[in-house]
Amino acid sequence: MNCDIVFLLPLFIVTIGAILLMLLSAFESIRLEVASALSVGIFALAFLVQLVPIGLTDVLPFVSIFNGMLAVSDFTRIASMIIIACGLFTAMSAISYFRQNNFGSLEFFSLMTFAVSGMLLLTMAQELITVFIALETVSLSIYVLVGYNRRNVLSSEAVLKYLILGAFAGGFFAMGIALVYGALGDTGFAAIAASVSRDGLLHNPALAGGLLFILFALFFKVTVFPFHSWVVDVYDGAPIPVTGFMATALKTAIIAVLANVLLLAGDIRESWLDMLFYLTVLTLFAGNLIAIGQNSLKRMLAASGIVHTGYLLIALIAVSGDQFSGSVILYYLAAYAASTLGIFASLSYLSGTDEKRKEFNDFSGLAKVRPYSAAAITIFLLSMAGIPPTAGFMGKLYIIVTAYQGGHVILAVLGIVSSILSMWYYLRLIIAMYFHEADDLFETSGSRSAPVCAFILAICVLALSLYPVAI
Amino acid sequence: MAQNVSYLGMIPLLPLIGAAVVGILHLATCKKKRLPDQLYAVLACSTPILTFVLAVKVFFDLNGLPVDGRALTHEVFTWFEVGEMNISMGFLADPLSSLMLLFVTFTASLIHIYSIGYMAGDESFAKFFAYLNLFLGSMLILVLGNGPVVMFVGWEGVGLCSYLLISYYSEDRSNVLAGNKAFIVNRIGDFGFVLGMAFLFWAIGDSGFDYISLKTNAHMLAPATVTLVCLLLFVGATGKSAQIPLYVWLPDAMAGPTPVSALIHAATMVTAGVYMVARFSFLYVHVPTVGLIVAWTGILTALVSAIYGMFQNDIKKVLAYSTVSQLGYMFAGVGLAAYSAGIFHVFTHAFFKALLFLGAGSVIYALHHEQNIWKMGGLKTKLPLTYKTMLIGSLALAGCPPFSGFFSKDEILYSALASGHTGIWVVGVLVAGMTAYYTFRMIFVVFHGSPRDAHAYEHAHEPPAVMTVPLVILAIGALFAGFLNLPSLFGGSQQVTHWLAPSLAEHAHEASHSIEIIAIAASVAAFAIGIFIAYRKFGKGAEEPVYSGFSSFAYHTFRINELYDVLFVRPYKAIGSAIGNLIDAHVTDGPVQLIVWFYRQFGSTFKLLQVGYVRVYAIYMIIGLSVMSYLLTQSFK
Amino acid sequence: MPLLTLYDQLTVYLVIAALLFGMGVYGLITRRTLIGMLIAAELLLAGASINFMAFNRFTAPDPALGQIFTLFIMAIAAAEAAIGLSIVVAFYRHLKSIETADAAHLKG
Repeated sequence: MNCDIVFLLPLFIVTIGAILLMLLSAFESIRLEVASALSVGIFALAFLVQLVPIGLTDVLPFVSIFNGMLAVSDFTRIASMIIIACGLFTAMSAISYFRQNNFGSLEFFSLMTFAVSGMLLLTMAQELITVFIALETVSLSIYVLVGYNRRNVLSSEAVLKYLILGAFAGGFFAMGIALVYGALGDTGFAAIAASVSRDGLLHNPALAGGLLFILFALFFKVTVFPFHSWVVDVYDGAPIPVTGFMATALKTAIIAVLANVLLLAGDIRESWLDMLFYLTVLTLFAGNLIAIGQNSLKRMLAASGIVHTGYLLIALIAVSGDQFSGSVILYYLAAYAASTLGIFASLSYLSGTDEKRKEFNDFSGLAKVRPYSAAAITIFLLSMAGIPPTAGFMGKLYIIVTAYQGGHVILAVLGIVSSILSMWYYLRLIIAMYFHEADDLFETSGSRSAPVCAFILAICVLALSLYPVAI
Repeated sequence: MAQNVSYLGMIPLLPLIGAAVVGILHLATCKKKRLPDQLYAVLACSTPILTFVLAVKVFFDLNGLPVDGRALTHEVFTWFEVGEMNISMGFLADPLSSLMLLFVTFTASLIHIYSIGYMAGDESFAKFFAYLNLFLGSMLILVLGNGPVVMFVGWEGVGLCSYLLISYYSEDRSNVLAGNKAFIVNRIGDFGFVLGMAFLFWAIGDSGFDYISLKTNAHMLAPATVTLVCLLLFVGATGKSAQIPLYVWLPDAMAGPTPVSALIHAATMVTAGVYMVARFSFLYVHVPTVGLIVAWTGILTALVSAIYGMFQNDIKKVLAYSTVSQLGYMFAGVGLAAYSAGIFHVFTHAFFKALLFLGAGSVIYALHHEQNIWKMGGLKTKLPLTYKTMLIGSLALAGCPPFSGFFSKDEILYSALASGHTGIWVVGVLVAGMTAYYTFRMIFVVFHGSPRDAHAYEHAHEPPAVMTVPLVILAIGALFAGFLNLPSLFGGSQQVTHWLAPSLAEHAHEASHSIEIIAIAASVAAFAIGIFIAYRKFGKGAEEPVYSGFSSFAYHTFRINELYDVLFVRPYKAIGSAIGNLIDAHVTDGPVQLIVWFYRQFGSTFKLLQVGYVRVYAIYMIIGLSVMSYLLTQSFK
Repeated sequence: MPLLTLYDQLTVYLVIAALLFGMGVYGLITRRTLIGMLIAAELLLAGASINFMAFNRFTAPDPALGQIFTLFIMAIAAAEAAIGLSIVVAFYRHLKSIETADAAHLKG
């Protein structure tokens, strides 16, 4: 019983920290750097506590109070660690970003911390109502973060699209829960899994429809084709650190929920496999095709995020349900998060005043002016493209091997094909940086924190590829 | 029983640390104040020497073990583990790898020291040493890896370093092209290696993918699989070890600094293919047909490149073709299942070829980067020490008894004769004569006669001690290394063969002493004839000949490069420039542009779907959901 | 008189909820103004809430769950509306319009 508090401590730390930051925002005299440092401290503390291992089987903390609505295991622990690290690096790079983009305020960090606390809750939730509330906590915070630059019409437009479509998906999610509740009288994952494994999914149409709506809403959040359209515009309009945060932490949290729903409480993928297969294939290729045509880096990264979702779906289809540890998914998420955050951290300082550099051509010749930044970006891009010796390569390798061993040969082959297609747009930036002449001095004003972030993450990308078993 | 020793991991790690330290120091200071070159020299040279000490320790530790238990292992970490696939990053030292380890670290130490003199005053002195250390680390991973995967890591690592060092003088575009050529040709070979590895893995990878488990499970393989795997692995070997048809990169690789040619493109990396075949001897021994292909490929390579070697003007090109030729001998040896003979030739070759390259480096250094032998001459008096050491190297290369090359080459030729492959033996003897001819053609033209370029001759002087001492040490090696494997005919006991025996699956060819004497007599005769012709033509000074007819054809290496260009490079370019046009928009051809255009069009068509209207996005979602619902209702039936 | 017992039948509430939900979906696609779309999104949530209450009343063994969730939905809907309106205000300041067709600068 005493251990339970330890399991939930990261969540408590982050939530209390968020409230504290919100209160601090009332004081005008506090500088942005202080808030950033404070949130970094909160995340670091939570990360350290999260290092305590839990074990592969689910532990239900405070079962008498929470009635089994939360469960922790090594899967949730590592997912939480990824999310907390995403928050930490975002808080660090945001400072460099706000030096050059003059719309920062203290609430930014508080909102981000709230979002992280919602995500932590998401990873642990074992029951649909908790998922709904956590999801809305995250969404509401992120709406505000996306539209943080109120003076910029693009930022407003981005949040508008996200909000409307998000509310749309949220409505379906609520309806889905209502249907599941009607069908089973319960909203726990365990009850769903028990019912499905007892009678099959199709025995109960309300349950099937409800789950369909729920999957729809979750797919919307992780940008599965054809629910992906918002992501390119929203990532484009959002401030760079927020984009990086959404691309990594949010995706990790939602994938964790999907794994929870589909696998952890009991394997209910059986009836969905066909649908998941088509969605996966479409997601992989839609993402690649959208990314090819982009000239803006943020849009390209958003589209490439769709492709990475496709890979994660392959993993969700292919991992074996019994003795699920999720290591394949988690490793890919960690590798992807490190590379993506690294790119966005680099962009946070390289984009300059008011994000004036955002297209491929704006980074021409970067290697000649700022060789280290270019080298770091190259590492991140190679990792995303899946070229050894980076973490991204190992992640893709794991997923493709898992798919192959699980008998999904077509998915494995398509995964490789998509990885080849993706080289096009990743290498395009590398070529621009290394083989074109520089017509820009890439002056940046600001703190060193985002460059330090990029450096640490570049090392993480390389280190993760050497010690994949650590995850 | 394999013994676990942790210092094994240190051996590849040390040079890698050295590379990192030197590299970081260089990067951190190159823009501001340069650190003294001596610091880098000490840092970079300490790691190969330390690894050599460890290699000696490995040797003695192995020696202390019983004969059939001579294996030291160390597993650093499990590299990846997916399902049944379990690959660990681990090292294995057995007699075979320990022998490789010894001479690799030994020659590497000497060449590192030599480079201090040769590269003195170079702009990016530290960069060079960082690469060199990186190379050594990768080479040691290749040699010590406990399985094909770890070997492949090293294999790719040495390939990368080779590429970096060939294009080291990157101001000259042709050097960069030479590097690219090496890189691309090696990729073709690597493709074979990877495929072979994959087949092997599919066949018996489940129960362990390190050499020891593979060796135990090899009997479960179907004969067809073994043939396929061996052929594919040999494709990999032809790439790295420059055999027909992939040898074309090695002569061009001479664009790198001379110590690099000595270390990478003569003594160590290029022999990796031979090492690999010997490593997989437990597979090759079951498929004598593949072995025959290997042997014939090797001996034909030896013949062709010996012909080229007779007509080259560039001192390094002569040596490069002689390397290709000697590698051909080694493959002939391992192809005929005389693995220890092949490996022993690798071992002796490392000494005399490194010596010859370093000697050539001294000449080039003395003449301020002149490489054409027809501009040299009479250097005997100016560079006496270089002359003497190079003479020893040449005698070893040409196979003069009792120099090291004689014993190792003779053993290969003897096994060809003893196993009844007379054709290979005849070609081998012929090549031995040619080798003597072109080696001494080089010696006579460079060191004898009268100087052809008086100005350069006047200014020539012996290089500093830091360069000559390694020459002397290597010369001693080249002189005596052969005695390590003295055949019983001369009262020896073939120590190297016995040492290697536990690692190799060898067929010993028993034959009478009379056959051995015939083989030796033929080799010595070929050597004598070769040297005699060389002396007659060049001994008293000769002018640069005008090549015509066959000799011109041979001088242009049978126009193989042009042939490859027409057969492979141009069609490949047509396909491959899809990527190339990103770099240079002017090299694309019609069909490629069409593909690119289609790809782009797909992209921009898809872009049109991203209309930007939120209502349209909502409609996409509704359509998607409807299709999902439809699929769900379909499954109700 | 079955009409008088309509109030006591689960199906009736489910149909009403479905109607509300359908109107929400329809409205989201057809409404041109931001406010209209926000209202449509609220209708979706209203449909879900009615479903919850109905199931809670007629089928569920646990009397509290559906009601609690309905309360949550109300709170979340309110929060969403607040944020939505603030965005509408920001948007209106830039473009002097609340037509969604004007929000199409980000595309392609």
